[in-house]
Amino acid sequence: MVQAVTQTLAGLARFGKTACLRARLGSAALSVRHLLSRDRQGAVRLPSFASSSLVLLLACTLHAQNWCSPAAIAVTKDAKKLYIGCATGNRVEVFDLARKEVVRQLPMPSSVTGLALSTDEARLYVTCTGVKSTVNIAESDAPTAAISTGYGADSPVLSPDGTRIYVCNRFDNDVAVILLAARKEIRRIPVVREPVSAALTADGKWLLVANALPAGRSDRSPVAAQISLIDTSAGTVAAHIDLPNGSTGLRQIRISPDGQLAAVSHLLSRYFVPATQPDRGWIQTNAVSLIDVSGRKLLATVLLDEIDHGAANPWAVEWTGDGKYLCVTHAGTHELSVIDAPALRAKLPRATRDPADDFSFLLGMRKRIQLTGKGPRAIALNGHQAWVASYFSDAVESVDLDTGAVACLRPPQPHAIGESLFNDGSISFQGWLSCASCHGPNARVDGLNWDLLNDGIGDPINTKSLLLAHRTPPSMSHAVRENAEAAVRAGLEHILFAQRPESEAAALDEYLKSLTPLPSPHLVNGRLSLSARNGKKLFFDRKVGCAVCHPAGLFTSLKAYDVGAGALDTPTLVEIWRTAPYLHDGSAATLREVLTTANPNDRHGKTSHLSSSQIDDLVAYLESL
Amino acid sequence: MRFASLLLSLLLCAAASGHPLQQFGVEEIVFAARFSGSPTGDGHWYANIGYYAPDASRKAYGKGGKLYKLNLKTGKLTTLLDDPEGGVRDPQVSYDGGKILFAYRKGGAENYHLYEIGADGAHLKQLTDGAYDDFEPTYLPNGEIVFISTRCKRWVNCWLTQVAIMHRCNADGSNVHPISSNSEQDNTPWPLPDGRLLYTRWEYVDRSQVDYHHLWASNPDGTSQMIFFGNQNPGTLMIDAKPIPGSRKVVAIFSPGHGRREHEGNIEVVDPRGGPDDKSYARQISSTPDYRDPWAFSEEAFMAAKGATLVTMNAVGQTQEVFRLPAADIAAKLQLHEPRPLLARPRESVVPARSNLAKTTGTLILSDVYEGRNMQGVRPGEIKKLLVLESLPMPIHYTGGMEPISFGGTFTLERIVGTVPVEPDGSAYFELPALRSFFFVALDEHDMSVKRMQSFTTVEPGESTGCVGCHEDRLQAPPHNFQQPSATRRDPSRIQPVSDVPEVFDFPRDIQPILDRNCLSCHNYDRRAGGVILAGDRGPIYSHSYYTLTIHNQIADGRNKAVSNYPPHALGTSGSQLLNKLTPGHHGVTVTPQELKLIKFWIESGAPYPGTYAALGTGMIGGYAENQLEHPDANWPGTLAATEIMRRRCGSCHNAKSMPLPASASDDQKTPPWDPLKKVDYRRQFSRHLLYNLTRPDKSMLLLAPLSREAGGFGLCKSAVLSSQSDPDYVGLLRSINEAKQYLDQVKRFDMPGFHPRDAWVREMKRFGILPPDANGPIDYYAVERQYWKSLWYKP
Repeated sequence: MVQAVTQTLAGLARFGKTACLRARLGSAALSVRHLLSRDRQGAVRLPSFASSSLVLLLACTLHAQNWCSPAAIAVTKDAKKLYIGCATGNRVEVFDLARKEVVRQLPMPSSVTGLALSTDEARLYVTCTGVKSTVNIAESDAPTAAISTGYGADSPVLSPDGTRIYVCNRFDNDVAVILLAARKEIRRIPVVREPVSAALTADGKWLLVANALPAGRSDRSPVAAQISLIDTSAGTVAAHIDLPNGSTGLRQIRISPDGQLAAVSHLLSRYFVPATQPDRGWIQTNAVSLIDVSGRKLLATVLLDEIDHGAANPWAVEWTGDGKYLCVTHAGTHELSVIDAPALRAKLPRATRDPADDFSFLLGMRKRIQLTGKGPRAIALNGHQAWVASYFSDAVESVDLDTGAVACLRPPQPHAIGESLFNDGSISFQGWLSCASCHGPNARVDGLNWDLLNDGIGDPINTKSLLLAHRTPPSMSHAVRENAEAAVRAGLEHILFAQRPESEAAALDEYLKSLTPLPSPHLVNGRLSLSARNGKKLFFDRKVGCAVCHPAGLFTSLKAYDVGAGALDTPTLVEIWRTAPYLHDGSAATLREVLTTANPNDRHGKTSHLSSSQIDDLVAYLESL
Repeated sequence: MRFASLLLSLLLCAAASGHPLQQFGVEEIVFAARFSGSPTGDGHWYANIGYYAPDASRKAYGKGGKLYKLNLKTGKLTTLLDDPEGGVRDPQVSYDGGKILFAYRKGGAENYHLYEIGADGAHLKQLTDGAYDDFEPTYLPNGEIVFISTRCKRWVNCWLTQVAIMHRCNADGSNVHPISSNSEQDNTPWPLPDGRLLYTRWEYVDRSQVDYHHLWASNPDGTSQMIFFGNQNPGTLMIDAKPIPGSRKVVAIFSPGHGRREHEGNIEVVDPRGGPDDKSYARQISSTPDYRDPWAFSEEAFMAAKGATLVTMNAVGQTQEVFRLPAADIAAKLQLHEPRPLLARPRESVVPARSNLAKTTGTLILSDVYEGRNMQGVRPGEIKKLLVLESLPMPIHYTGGMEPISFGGTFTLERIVGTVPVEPDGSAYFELPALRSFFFVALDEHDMSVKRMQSFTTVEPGESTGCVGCHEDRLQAPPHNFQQPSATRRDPSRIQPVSDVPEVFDFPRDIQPILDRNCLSCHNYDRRAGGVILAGDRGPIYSHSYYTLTIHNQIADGRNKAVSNYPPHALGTSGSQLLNKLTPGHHGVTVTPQELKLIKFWIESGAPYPGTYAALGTGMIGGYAENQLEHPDANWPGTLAATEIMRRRCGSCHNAKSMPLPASASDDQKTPPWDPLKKVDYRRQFSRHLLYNLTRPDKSMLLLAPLSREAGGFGLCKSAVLSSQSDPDYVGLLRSINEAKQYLDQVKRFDMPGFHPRDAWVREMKRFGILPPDANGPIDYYAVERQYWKSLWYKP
């Protein structure tokens, strides 16, 4: 089978139109061959990387090849230099565009998530993620200082006067305000859930923050992630802007040069219909939403998919300085969409279908450009030139936005095969979705319920994190898969609707097995808080009974119990702080609800006798796991 | 500019490299050469296999077939196979370029079967066999083969040849099973790069027979059958569609009108991104509609067959002849067909099976019945259930029309399967038997029609599939503001049979008795209230009542018209005026609930005249064979005399210029049933279907209209033409009608005692294994036919 795929790809490479396409297909063929030979050699631990994961960073450094995994890039005004932020390489690469090579490497303390270049280009601000993330400052292409901030820092945004920087602390669910002169964080502004990207209005007054995931229960519509609008002078959230039902997986938000619109990339999940087929967006669609900034409301959501050609996992978003183009990368299908922005804006008022459901809205106003690299997550623009960097192959490509011509500045070198496949929508039927479409780029959750065919239609179930999936058989709430290996293969066949070689399923297994839990943001210096310590006692109190089914270690007995909704497999509680909503049907928005309103008959442990503060303690413990 | 540069590139390329396809790595081309004229002059694109219905010795296929390989570089022509009495068609090259899969009818044999042969001409291997035709094969990327086959045991609903639909088999020809349930032709399946099959589906559920043969796509196991391009735009046979490398577009033949022999037509490029309905996403490449079998190397380079030649074509349709068949072939009237590059090519994506052949049913989820195009005016909550109808395959057919199944309406018997509930939120979730052609009518709380489908859907065994709504916009995702369809919170509905109605309606048996009881006291030959007669007396083809209901537009069916997706309430019971006549407001008519129910479901099932296909080609005076009117009465003494009488007595008013009369019971005045009449046409009023009463000849309008009231007639003519029944001309006319009655009594109609189906119907029922080979004597044709279509139901 692998041989067949290799032949196919090699064959396609011969038919490839451009040098880039040939390179991409050729390298894909190579990578499959590579995989095959490794398989035959026996057990080979495939390299796996994940952004925002300190533990995995360690694995990365152990790996012989020092991959970059670009998470962010910036280009200088003279278009001579690119800064490439490396998520697994813990560095910023200075890439000379004339020489087409890295001319300097700026070492960074941890995984790079974002870059911000000062207006005068004298300073580069680099967010490096961790439990205690840092904002690093480089001057004259040399690191000079680091400022501490929260957990999972991402998306640094400079104020117009250059005095402040705003940072999304993804796992603290807040935005940090940092005074650069004092090199000190002065404020945290709580937002909704997992903020991952922010954009500031030109006057510096309003910060729009994209929350990656929906908050709240998932068993009733609408369920959607929100944009938090921060009043920077007050330091508070002035409004929450709702995205359409099914919006999740928000990645990047950028404001148009005229300040009127903010564009945010996200999935528009059709979670409400049974996942019978991926065709015509029946499961996942991929979108960019346009926010009316001054009106503080959603203007429109526009699908990036076409009728028989999905645009899985939109990621990076940028506007050209003249407002002519809106660019969106499709990290799952390895493409760049170049949208004629004035045409798009002009068409919105006369749309005959809701563009959020219309596969033809962008026809005639969008170039869909196939890239060489795998997983394009970073884009930088200068004039009508774009530079795109691809996370899973370190490729750097330039795209002429007027002609669509692509040039490869750094050829792709595929790595992190399992994780790359996990994020790869091009392996799915017509490119509609990747594993990451429901499980996020790091194999966790999307905050939605899905009605899969594997347990019968009519029983939508909240997406489970895949952390520890291979160690906690069986899989699925109704235990319909014997183990995670079976679930991975079933997922390829019945969710991605793709028949893929066993080697790819094995690589996915290896990636998922390599996942390790992130430390809870609720830990205090890595330890349980006082409240959590009290909660721990309750957790292991036989009368309360949590540990009967969720014993220490994996926090699951691997058995099924009826806690009020029929027999359900006991899930692990590890990382439960980030997997809301709760219960198999997502009917509990918080752990407190799980222990109180959702447990009226004490069937899910005995909790009715606990005081409110004991409940708080128990929640604190759970959130620390 | 573009034009010039393209031309230049074509010429330069040809000049520089010796042959124009070298740049695509093509050295060799494989193609079929065969006698492609019809032995009978039949122009239909599909009528080139098997035999004709009335006479199994009359063949639709031609004789003389070759499989050739051409080296473009050296010009060397290699004969891989040559059978002067046989037929060769549809070569497809294996992914490694080493084998050729094709359909071959051996000289002297009846049927095409699938064969493989090495690219070097060695190792000819037969893959399929049996007494049916297997052809138009294509490899699937998983190694299996999809093809079309007449194993489906059915005949074109409007012609006298057999239907072939999509089947699938293993690489060695074993495990043949259908993946389509079409009652009409599927054609030229071919894989798309995304793994789907692209093919042509011809269908005409409640709409024009000659206008809907467009491009469809499905998964390679037949699941997710979905329109690809054209279905809302009547006309044009779209066929031989194949993907264009390096593009998401496809190249296809657009054969004009109802299609031409051997799929001849224009070469067009279809961009699927604009959805199936926007015609502007098809671009005509060729300048004339005389090309066949296009092959795309890119969006700007094509190869095709034209007559006896192989041509290349650029993006603006300029051609260059690459090769011409040898003179001997041309003299033998062979033409060049299906050229394919003999080249390894990439496998398409493999789509995992979404069917489970061990199951007998599939399930369908309808998210919101109210969501769809042209649903304006439907009240939320109005739709309570879906009536599930099944398009019944046809075991034989003799002509291009639908008579006597209907007069200008359905060709096909529509079986009432039952109903499934629609929830208040518009959702439905139900089980459907696999591999049958179903269509739906949305019904309100009174079982009145809200919307009719006019197409059909098929689920594969074990398939679970969903649709958004009725006539959903294919360019639209399930609307994002939807909720979970409430129907999915319960188990899928089983289809509930409709109680106390026949599965297949038969007008004389099921409806006429209701008319007799409720209508005949006024609409009889004595009172003729409103000029309407609803008596069941037989005319030359239909009963007077059946014809009357049709021409007075009492039944709203789709007719044989190129119109799709009618507004709500337009078709079926809600649009049928007959129902207004069955209320006390209409002169005190009070039908029983059961009578009303029968009328309603008869209308929803296409309002047919006979409830059996055995009626086809029988019991008619002036029926049709191969679209030609048959005049059995032309030389009867009574006819000759009556013609003279009518010319003499009626000719001053009724002549070629005004209110013409039929010359005899077989004279259709050039208005066959399949030809829609204008609303005002004297030929409707003075139709043979009303003038001749072959049950009670003295109740013929031909006599009653000119007969004076005093003499018991209607005296409808300007002056009483006939003053007495003893007028010799009255007697003469009556004699001719009596002769027609005697003829009908002899040949018999389906609703007459002693009726026996035609030999060809019996022959096919024996061939299909429904009747024993030695069957003779009386036949319960209703029961046999039921046994026939039940035998086609999928069994694991």
